[in-house]
Amino acid sequence: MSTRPLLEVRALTTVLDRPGGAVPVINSVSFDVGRGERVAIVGESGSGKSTTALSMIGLLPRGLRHQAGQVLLDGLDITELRGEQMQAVRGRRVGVVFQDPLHSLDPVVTIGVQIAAVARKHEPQLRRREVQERVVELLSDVGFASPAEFMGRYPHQLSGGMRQRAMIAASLAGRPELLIADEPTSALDVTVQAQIIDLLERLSEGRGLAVVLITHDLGLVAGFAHRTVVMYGGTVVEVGATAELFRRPLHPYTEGLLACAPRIDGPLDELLVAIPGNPPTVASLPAGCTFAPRCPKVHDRCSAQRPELQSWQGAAVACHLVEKGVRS
Amino acid sequence: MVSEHGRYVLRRIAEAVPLVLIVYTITFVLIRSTPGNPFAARSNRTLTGEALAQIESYYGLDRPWYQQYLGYLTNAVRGDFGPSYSKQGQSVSEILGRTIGVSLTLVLASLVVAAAIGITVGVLATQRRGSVLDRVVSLVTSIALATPAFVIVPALTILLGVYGGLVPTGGWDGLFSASAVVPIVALAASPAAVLTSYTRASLSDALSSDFVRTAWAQGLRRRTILWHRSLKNGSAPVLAAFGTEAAAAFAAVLVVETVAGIPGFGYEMVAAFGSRDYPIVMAGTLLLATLVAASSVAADVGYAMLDPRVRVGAKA
Amino acid sequence: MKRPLIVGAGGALALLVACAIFAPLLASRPYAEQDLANSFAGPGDGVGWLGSDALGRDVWARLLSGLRISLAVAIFSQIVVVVIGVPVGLLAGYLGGRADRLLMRIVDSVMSFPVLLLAMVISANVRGNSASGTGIWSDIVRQVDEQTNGLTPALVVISVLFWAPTARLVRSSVIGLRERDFVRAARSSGATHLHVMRRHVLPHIWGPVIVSAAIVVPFAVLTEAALSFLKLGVEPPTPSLGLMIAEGATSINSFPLQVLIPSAFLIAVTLLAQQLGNGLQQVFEEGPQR
Repeated sequence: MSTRPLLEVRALTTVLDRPGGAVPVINSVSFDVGRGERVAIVGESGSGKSTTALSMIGLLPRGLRHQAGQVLLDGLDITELRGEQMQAVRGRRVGVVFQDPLHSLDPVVTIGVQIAAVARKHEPQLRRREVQERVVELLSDVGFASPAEFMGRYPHQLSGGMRQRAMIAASLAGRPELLIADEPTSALDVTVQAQIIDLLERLSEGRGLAVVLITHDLGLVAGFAHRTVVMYGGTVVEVGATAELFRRPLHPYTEGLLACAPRIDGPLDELLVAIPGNPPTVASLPAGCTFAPRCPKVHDRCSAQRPELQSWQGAAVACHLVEKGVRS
Repeated sequence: MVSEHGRYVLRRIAEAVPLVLIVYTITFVLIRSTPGNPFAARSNRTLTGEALAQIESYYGLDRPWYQQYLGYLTNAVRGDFGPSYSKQGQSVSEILGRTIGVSLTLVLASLVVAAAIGITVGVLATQRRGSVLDRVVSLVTSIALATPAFVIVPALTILLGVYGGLVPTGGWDGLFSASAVVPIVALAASPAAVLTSYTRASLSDALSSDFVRTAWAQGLRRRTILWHRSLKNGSAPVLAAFGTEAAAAFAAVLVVETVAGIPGFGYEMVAAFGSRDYPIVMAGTLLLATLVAASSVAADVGYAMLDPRVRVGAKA
Repeated sequence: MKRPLIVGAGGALALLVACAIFAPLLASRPYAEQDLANSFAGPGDGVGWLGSDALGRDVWARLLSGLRISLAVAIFSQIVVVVIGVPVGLLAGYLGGRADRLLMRIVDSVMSFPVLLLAMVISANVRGNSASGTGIWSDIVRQVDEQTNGLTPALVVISVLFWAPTARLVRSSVIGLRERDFVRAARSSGATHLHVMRRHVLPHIWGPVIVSAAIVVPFAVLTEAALSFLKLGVEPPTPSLGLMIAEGATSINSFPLQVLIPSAFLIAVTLLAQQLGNGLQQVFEEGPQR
């Protein structure tokens, strides 16, 4: 068995084309995902986490384009693939779940047909009946109690949670090894959110499916992801094993982020903590460290020079204050 | 699902019937309240007194107005449109039978041509967005929409007929003859332009939507994404537009037949306005209103069949 | 404004409007003056710079006068849109419920009414009344028809049918605004319905009104042209572009220019009006949606 990680993202840079020139939306993003591993990418709105996901599978919207870096899937650089070659990877080796299932599913086609279409595309030798069985199997795997009944429904006839389950079923129809979930729960009710995350965890454990979960909600990450990638201002600021990261964050931003989340067992009259200032926009990225303007531990060097991402043993941090895993 | 469909169709038909009646009523009132004698043109002598009364009674014009209103309607439903006032001895049904075939052929052929051109060009323009073809299509579409049918007929006749000698300056020799070219182009121009715009807009919308992005992410073939997912979603508004254009085409054929000298029912109807031949006018009105309503209903039903959100949402 | 479409189309239209208004000053001869000796003159052959028609009348003069007719019709359609369309839309959107449903039923009926058919029927009625009618009503109709030079059927049709799309657009706008916070705030502080409509709702609906008004203009112009073409509109010698095309069509084989010149003019006017409408639509659609 290969010890190479399933997914290696290397210095991925995506730019936005503007009249004055191209500005980076994500800059030199790097992280790995092992087989069956669940990695979360967290950050505020505008941190570039969704763009990272879209860049990985090459589904960038108009105006954005891949400028540098590689995305290696088992050693194969998928940023180089085009046309049918790319379509053979999408759905088959990498599945995607998007944020808003109402608009991300075809409104005029039943969910059964949509799932079947994916199955049939990647396994064209299946006969009709076999495809139907696959659809039923997938629907029940994602938690539908009576799959046969729901196969004939249209997306608008389902609740938000059911729609998202259907989307997940469709994303698994090609039997991928990696699932990218871009804010899969943000459009759902809180109780349903937990159900969907549990479902993803169950599927991951059961099939050895690697998952990249993009989210801004730290609460979802804690019990789910093996490792967490923290992004800010289009760059990766910290990577680490989730438990360790939460307990001992190295980067000041991570520390601030964790402090912001109120604890249910904290004192009732405790003031909510917030990180002062606003995240940078794409057009106004600072010269040095992207977090320097808001960092409580900022030094002169931070504003002048962008810190490199230092990695060791599955963890990484980009901060001038940190040397070899130890913060000064 | 059949009964749900059926209910929707019945509901739409029920809504359309009053519209037809309104058109009929308004036309009836306006026509009947026009002073003057529909028979004045028929003879050289001025018809007065007893002669007039005799003719009026023969044609049932001395009955009270509500009898005339209902009477004509009930007869019409059975296919009896009364006798023609200007063409003595002929019933409107005879005239209708002789001429309606030409009109319907003309309109339907034009609509088919319009749909074929409109949708094809629309799809091509979408695939090559921003290209030279796209811009040319935009320009031609704009001009087509600004040019009414009664201008296209003479202009095209001049171009192809007077200068080119390819088409006759009037008349109708059948659907596949040279004389059909000008009227079909004239009738098809506006719907083709509208369908092109709608197809382009609708398809572009569908192609840039989230669910198409999902289709790409699922690894579906480009061909499937374009023809199954995008077209199916994009075709509903196009169908609605087609219904409106079909209704307009039925009305426009009156003008086209008159201008191009085509012996269809539209020609007879316009002439009937001049000669005060009321039964022909009423018959034409009923026919036109029904066809317009039918186009609307058909378009709506088609839309509902294509877009499941419409049907179920209506009940909520 | 940096939008070439609006500036271009608007500018060209403004020029045409000016021509129409100053028509008598711009032509060498009055539009009705016949010169049978010089009929069918070519451009520059003696009678004005576009030649003359079958009766020797100056084509250029007639074109300009025809433009006046189109302008009058266009202006009238705008009045109809504002005077009928806006209030109906406001009422329907604001009152909601049964009133809204009823009004929208009427709007739907009006929008599906075959325009040309109604125009022809009205024209027959007006002509009949003018020619051989007796009694007060016929007198009124006759007077109005004379004063408008035969435009009455076109004007009536426009009044009856062309306000509907505006009503619909205004109603949608109002419905959207009705639930907005600032309207609710005004109501809860005691403002009357009328006050709220006037002060808070009205300023926000000008966008749809302007756009639908612009959209209606080409239809109105074409309807009048079609009616005049069928000899059911203006009475000769008053020129309308439609009438000129019809007159030209009789000599289509020998003098094709008689048809082509007014046709080109009509197409140009309609096209400019449509482009202006499109440009305005873009402006208002891209506007900030609060």
